[in-house]
Amino acid sequence: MSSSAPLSLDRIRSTLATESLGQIVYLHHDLPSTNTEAAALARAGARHGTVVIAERQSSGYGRHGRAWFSPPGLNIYCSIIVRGMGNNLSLAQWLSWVPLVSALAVTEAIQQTAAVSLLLKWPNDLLLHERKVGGILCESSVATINDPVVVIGIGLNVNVPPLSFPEELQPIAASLVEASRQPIDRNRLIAQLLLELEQCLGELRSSGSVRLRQAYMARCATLGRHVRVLFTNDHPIVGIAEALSADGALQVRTVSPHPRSQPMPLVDVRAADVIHLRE
Amino acid sequence: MSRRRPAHSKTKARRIVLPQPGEEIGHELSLTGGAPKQIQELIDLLRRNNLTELEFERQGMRIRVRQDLATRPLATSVQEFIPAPPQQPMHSTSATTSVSDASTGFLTVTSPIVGTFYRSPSPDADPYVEEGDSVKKGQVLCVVEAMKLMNEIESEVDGRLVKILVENTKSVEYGQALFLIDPKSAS
Repeated sequence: MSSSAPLSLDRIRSTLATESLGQIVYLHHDLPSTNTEAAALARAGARHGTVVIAERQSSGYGRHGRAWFSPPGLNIYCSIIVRGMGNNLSLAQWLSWVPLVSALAVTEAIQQTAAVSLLLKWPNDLLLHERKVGGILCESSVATINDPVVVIGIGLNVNVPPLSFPEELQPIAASLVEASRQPIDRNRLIAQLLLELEQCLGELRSSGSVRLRQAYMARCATLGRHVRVLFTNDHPIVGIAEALSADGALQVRTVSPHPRSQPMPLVDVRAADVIHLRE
Repeated sequence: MSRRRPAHSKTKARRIVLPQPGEEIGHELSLTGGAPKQIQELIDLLRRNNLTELEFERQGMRIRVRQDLATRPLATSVQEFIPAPPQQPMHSTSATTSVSDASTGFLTVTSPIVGTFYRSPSPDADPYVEEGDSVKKGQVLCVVEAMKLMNEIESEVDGRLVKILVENTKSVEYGQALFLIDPKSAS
């Protein structure tokens, strides 16, 4: 397999069509974590739209500090600093929708750049044939009402050969190159990703979540599925992912152990691992 | 002890009808002599402008006259008022996650979102804070997670963490109290 071209600020800028995202980009050869670096920049006052990218992460992480496989030169590890939230949403709505909308933007960018169609597992895992090609971890700090700062961290398996995944990841991880069958231009993909993200966040700011919710639901593989939901400090539940609430929570109808009993309640899931069960 | 003004005195400032040159207030103001007349003039000024309170200071002497325009019981306008600590956010553009309790002076840190409360950044990491800890403004106290967004809640003041009100990994509601902080015992 041919390796992909290295990341380059000039190459990213050559196709970048955004107004705010990516006007400042820090490209690193090696970082512990792009999210950690972006959070530090945000604390130091970095501007809205500042982007941190690395060719390799030595301590890339996902939810609850789980390690994110981050080999050099093949994938995308990218964190974007987003400030402010517009006037149409409450802070709680803005913070709820940013993670979902970010995932939607990434799927659109991949469709445009690599012609690969991905689905989403709630809230924002990117799936190729039910295996994970990408994940998004957002971290925010809210000190003032009008200026929440969100760092959107995006990890994407782009050109990494599937056989190079660690053994424990092989059954559950995927790489975009499996579907594209040729190396993907990461520089172009990053520029497109920033454009789609800027447009989605702009829509969220100006018009709220109504249309984005529809677009998200069209991409969401979780809705309608049997799922197992693993909470951090509660018993897991099994049920059908029936709907997406107005604030983006996954609404799961638990399966009754007694088929003729009363209808089971709808549980709003906001923080949990969701596993798609085989149909 | 100072007194709290009735809420309606905080409404948008109105233009005040100033005294005419001939009726200037405050000359040779003292507790004896012409003071009663000048206090009466202040009362007139208060009424003429439909104000609730007027304070006048000259040569080390301060006179405050008030009238209760509202029909509410007088008690609401004389309740005890504890001055806010200097760090306490006073404007709508600052804090969203803290409210102050006037009786204790403690600041209550509340959750800005519905989600799950975590005391540490990952399950095997040390908690961000423990009860009794000194905390600094901007220091992370906890994380509330929703939709895989890890929302760090920061202290808005220097102080001492008096109480942690929620157990680790429990669900929290919008606006639910998470911590009590005593801003007075900042070290």
